[in-house]
Amino acid sequence: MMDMNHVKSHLQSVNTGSIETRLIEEFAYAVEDYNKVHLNREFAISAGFRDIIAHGPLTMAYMSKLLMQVFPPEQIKELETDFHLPTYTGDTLTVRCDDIIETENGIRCTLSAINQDGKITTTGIAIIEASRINQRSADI
Amino acid sequence: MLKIGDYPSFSVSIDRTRLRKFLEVIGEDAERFMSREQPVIPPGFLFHIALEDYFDIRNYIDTRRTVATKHVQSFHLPIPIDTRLNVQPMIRSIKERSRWTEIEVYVRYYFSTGDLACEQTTIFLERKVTE
Repeated sequence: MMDMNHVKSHLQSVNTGSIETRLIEEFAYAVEDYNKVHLNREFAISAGFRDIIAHGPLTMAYMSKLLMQVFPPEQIKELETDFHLPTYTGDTLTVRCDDIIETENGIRCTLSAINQDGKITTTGIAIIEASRINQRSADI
Repeated sequence: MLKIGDYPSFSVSIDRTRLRKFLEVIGEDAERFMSREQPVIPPGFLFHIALEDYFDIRNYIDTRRTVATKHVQSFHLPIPIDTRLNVQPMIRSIKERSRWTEIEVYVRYYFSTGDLACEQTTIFLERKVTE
């Protein structure tokens, strides 16, 4: 059995800093998603947003970053995310682990991303598979 | 007209340059990550490689009216970089709501051996046009 409080203490919140247009453009290149809602302000406004929005999976990526502080990526069996609010250019997110429990199949982490206004933009659940947990995470 | 069912499969491979950029964007040490014994694809990355090809599907969807509200990635096996994967997309369900059409896109990624590497489910909401 792993001490979940101890594991959680190593999952430090990730602050994205201001998510600028340049970063969104670089993410678009990295993941090959050039949907104009992420790149063209006029298009984004025509789609009902007030400005360019970041890709939802950018927040997923920050959740991965948080998890990878303890768990190597090959241990992350599943990541489920619900997108509640858009992330606009200039927003700042804090991604955190809200809860972590050990189950018979591994470890379940509840995650959230909160913007600078204190609103939850994204929630997530990550499953770390027991059979993939290696010495590195066991040593934490 | 968008229909439930399978869409044409295609293959993708993970581009090191793009993965490096992905890691840099989120502030990860790309050099250290790439120098691991067997670097694998982190969650959050694979999605858009398929999404690029969702645009075949999205030819039927007005992207100005569509947002993704849920995304699930389930890795059956770790996916090393420089691996070619066969991608099989399908529309699993289309549900008509009063103001939205809810579209569930389900994608499976297979290794060349035929082993299932990853499953992805994404829920898109397409806003209905009102007169």
